[in-house]
Amino acid sequence: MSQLSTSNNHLASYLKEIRDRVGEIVVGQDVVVERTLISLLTSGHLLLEGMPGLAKTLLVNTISKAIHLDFSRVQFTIDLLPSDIIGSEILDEKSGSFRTHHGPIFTNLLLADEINRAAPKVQGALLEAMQERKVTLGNQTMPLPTPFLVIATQNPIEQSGTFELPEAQLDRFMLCHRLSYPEPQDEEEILRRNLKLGVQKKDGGAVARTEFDLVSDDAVGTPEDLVAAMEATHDIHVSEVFLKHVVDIVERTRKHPDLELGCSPRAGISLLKASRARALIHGRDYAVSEDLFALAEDVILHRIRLSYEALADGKTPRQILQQILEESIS
Amino acid sequence: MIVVFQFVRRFSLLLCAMGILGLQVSAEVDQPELESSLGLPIVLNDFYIAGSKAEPIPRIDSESSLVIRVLEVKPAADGFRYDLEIYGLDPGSYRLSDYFRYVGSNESLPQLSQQITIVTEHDLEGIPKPKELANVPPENVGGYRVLLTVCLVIWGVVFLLILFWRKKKVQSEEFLQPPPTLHEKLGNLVRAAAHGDLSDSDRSQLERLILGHWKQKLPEIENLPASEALVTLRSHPEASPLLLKLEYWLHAPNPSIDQQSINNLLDSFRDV
Repeated sequence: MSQLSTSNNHLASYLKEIRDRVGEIVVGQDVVVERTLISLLTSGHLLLEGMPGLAKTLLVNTISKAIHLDFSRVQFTIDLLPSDIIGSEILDEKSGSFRTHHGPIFTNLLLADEINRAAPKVQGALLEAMQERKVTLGNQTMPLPTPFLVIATQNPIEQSGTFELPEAQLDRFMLCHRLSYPEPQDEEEILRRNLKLGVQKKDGGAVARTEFDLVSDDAVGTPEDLVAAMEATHDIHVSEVFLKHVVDIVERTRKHPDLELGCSPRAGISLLKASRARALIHGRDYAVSEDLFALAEDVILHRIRLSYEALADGKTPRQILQQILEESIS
Repeated sequence: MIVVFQFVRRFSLLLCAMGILGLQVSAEVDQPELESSLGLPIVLNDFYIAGSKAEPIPRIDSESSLVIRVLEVKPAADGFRYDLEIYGLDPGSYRLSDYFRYVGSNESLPQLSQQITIVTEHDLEGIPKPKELANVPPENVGGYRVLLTVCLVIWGVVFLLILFWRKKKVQSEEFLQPPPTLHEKLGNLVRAAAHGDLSDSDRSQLERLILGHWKQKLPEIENLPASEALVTLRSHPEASPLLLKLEYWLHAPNPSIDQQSINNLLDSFRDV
């Protein structure tokens, strides 16, 4: 029924190859890889919530190398300054003029580790750059490289000394995926692979190898393939029926009595764009309701806020969203 | 004649001298006894004491029964006149001579005959009297437990009203107009689809209701979240062919499917 065009068939293979390449290094995180690709194809940004040690950095590093993209990582701390991320103008003593020093934001894939540990002004500077895709240093406004994707992480349990991202800033992230611990069989596989890592000899000494040493520098496909995949994402057909589905779910979040804050129009747009990318990744020419339901949690959950009464009743945003989805099919 | 004149003159001088002396003696001896109540002041104006300047003997302990304050000292012939204010601290009769001395001397003045009598009674006129305490029972005392009980009952009634009134109202409305069931809604939409008059909203609802139908029908996915249930349905041997056709009809660009095929597709939902 879902016959792909030849070009889209090639792109689906390309995207599958990327997933397989990442799967060789990172075990049991297929969904995260899929969400990262969705963010990349739609130029959205991704927020990952999960415990430390779930291979977030390794995952992003592997994807960036598989697609042949620049990768930077910034560990957010309380004393970080906006200039530490976006860069600054430095006085060159030899020439007597100011020289622009580009910050780590000038990259394709930026991993903002523990974004909620930085002060709000730093978060604001990053989120502004994410939105506008350009940075102003002194009198110069410089565009960020393309593609540009921010993958931010935050730890959901260790909240002391953190600055929680407000709803308006959370809304800038197209997807917020909650990482879970791997299944027992995946956990076993992780341990087995770790046992085989061995030792790397270098300069007369030796050091234990890590998973990062296994990441291949050979890219899958070419940058043109990625551009073609992004173009193909925009060509994925979205039916009127699918639009009605999106509007129906967004409307339900706004009218639900347990929700103080429902979805913004940006949430509907994100749902649409992400569904298109997922359709391409799954080898379809059109988005179907499965895409919608699969992505609803990652698109909607961080954009809704429970009412005081619902919180007092011990309800969670996830429960409310499941209730909304159940009601929509009953 | 001259002798008589001299006699009269001497006699008159003698009478004058005796008169003056008599007045002076009466001023020192025949002074009236003064009486006052305990703690209330006696004021003596122009009290004459002959001789050099006198002063009250300092009151150095609590044994002394009079407190004397000199208000003013005025010089007079062969002595001084004093304005005094005297307070009695113990009841009894006291000679003022025991409480005065000449300045620079420790001797008292025995020639002062003024008596001061301090009594415990006092004239009630002009002194504010304490109010008579009437034995009137206080008003509005008590009833606290009753008030507390009444407040508790009112609070309980309001609380129960808040809990149940709105729910009962909602329940009664629901009872009057029960919402259509999934299969009723699905049947209506399938019949409308057979006539080819489904709007986009209707087709959207039709798809969601069919998903809901399968979710209710298959026990293995009944309790799964909607997203996971859909993934299972797409690979389910019974549901999958139908759902994929439905997806193709509803979502594919320019689906090549005729009305008869749609009717056949939805036929199984006509009488659910």
